[in-house]
Amino acid sequence: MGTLADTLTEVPPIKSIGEYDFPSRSAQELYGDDLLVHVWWKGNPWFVAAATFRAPAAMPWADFWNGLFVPYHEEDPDFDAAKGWEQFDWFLAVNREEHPVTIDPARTLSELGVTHKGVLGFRTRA
Amino acid sequence: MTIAPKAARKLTMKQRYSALTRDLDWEPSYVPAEELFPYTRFEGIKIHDWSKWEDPFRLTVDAYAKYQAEKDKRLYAVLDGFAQSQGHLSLTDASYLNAMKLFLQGVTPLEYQAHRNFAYLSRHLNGPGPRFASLCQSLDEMRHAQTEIHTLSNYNKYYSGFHDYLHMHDRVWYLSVPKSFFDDALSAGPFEFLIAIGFSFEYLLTNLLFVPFMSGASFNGDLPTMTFGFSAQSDESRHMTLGLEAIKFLLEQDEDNVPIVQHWIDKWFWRGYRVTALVAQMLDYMLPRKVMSWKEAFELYFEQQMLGGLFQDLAFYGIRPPRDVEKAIQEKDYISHQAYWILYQFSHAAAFTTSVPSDEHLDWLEEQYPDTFPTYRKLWDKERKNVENGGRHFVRGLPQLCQVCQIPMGFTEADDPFIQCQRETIFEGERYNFCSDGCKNIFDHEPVKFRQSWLPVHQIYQGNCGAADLPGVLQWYGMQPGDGGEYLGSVDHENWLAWHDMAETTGGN
Repeated sequence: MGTLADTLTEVPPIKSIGEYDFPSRSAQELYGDDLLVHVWWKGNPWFVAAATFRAPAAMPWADFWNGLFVPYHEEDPDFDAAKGWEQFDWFLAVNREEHPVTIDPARTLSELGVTHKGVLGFRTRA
Repeated sequence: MTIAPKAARKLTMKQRYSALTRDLDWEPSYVPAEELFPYTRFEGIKIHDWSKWEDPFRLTVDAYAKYQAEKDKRLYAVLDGFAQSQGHLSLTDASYLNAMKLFLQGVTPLEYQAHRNFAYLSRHLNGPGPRFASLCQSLDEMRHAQTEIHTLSNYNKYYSGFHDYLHMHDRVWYLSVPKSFFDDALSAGPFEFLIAIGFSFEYLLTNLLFVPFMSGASFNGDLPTMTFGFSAQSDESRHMTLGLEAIKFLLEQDEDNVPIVQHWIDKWFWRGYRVTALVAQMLDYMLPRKVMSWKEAFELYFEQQMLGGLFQDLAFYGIRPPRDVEKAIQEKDYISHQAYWILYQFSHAAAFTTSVPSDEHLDWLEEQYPDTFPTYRKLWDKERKNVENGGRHFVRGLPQLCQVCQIPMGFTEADDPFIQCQRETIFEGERYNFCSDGCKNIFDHEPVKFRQSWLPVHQIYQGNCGAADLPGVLQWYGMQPGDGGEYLGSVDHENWLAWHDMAETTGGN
């Protein structure tokens, strides 16, 4: 069985009967100044999938934490919002890679490196 | 002397079939064949001789109508008897009907879509053999849609979640999984559709889809659905044969067809397999009386019958098993637990109910999945404690969805069944997220098609689903109070208990 790379190069392209070029239905422009942000509690299966929030790119982290993150995650009985975001290690997930993020409550999502449909991961600090 | 007129010569079955099907074909003289059949070249498939298509069933329209009418007569007699005798009260439990709600909302509309596309093939394929086979399948699919609706409509008188299934199919988040699967096939070329639905779905995966639902009906007292299953069974055998004939025909016509067909098998195996995650959780979690586990069904109907049989034969043509099949085999040990865990925590936005499995049920799951279930059991223990403390695990927001299969991204890495798989591709500056290498591979080969995916979560956030809050979205979905959420204490559960108390009090009168 071939690998992904060699299989894809072997495969003839899918052909269409005419011009076929339509835009994305989830493009960032469709959300104005907002982003879709995926927030993923890695290693905690209580939440079966990462959450998706719509948030302004210019939203400061503290507002994101208090207004969106905590109300969603406190549904897990083991989550203690009082311990703050410092209880977690934060990273941007790209496929299987983790790129560490240093949280600063005054910085905006955009300044922290969060992009449209990017995955902001966190795990409980060891 | 007069000579008695000769009796009309009776045609043999083969001659009669030929006279009523292939003999009705003609060579076009006013327009070139390319103009008459404009859709059978652009996909790159090369057909040199359409007459080589074998017709395994040799069915004529009059024989077809006669058989189907007999089957319908038997089915509708059962439906009448069941309705008149209040047969719904002899189901194992009202919660069983969650499986049938999912079937009506998710599968029945696909039958109608299959009817449409096979009707298109019955006009647009060049050869009279495949055109007639497609015509029969088109009629079958319409009959299946109608008989499924009639079979399940009786439950709509007494139970929630059966109303507005067509409206829901087009709008509700978990139904975008089967809907987008079939829309993908409908928007493909005719040969890709044949491999997608005729082969990959009807041949490779149909036993995994239909047999569990129909056996589940039989084990849980649902005589009408079981009878529908028998009624459809002979059609399904014919569909499987058509799917097999289609792939062999394409492979035998030209060697250049092989890599195209191989890619379609790779793509459509994974697309279909992801849809069967809904069947996996149904088998392991929604049936009060169990038939078999998903793992057993997968091993029997896919590993033994398909990998052990079919793909050995296809190797002769240079076809190998689907690219991501090893991942599917690995997932048989846990996919049902992950799929039900998704539905459980989002069932407040669904038209079916869920509940924590009983101790007996958890023990059965542990017997079936000794290597993986003990860890999932810890989640149920945590949820049970949560419920005792007055909670109920309903997620307070929206999940990340896979751009291709559209399922919330709850499936895990091959080497770690407790870390969700995250994959992404950046195409023309935009990021797209996937639940698996299988879905990412599909996107990477057709990004312009899949960037148009109508993802329910993204559409809700764009304000295209009625409202930005949950009650508004549920109203836009066409859902009514009592359709979803927790089963214990639900409208269906309370009615079920009241009806059976009443039956006991009155001696069943």
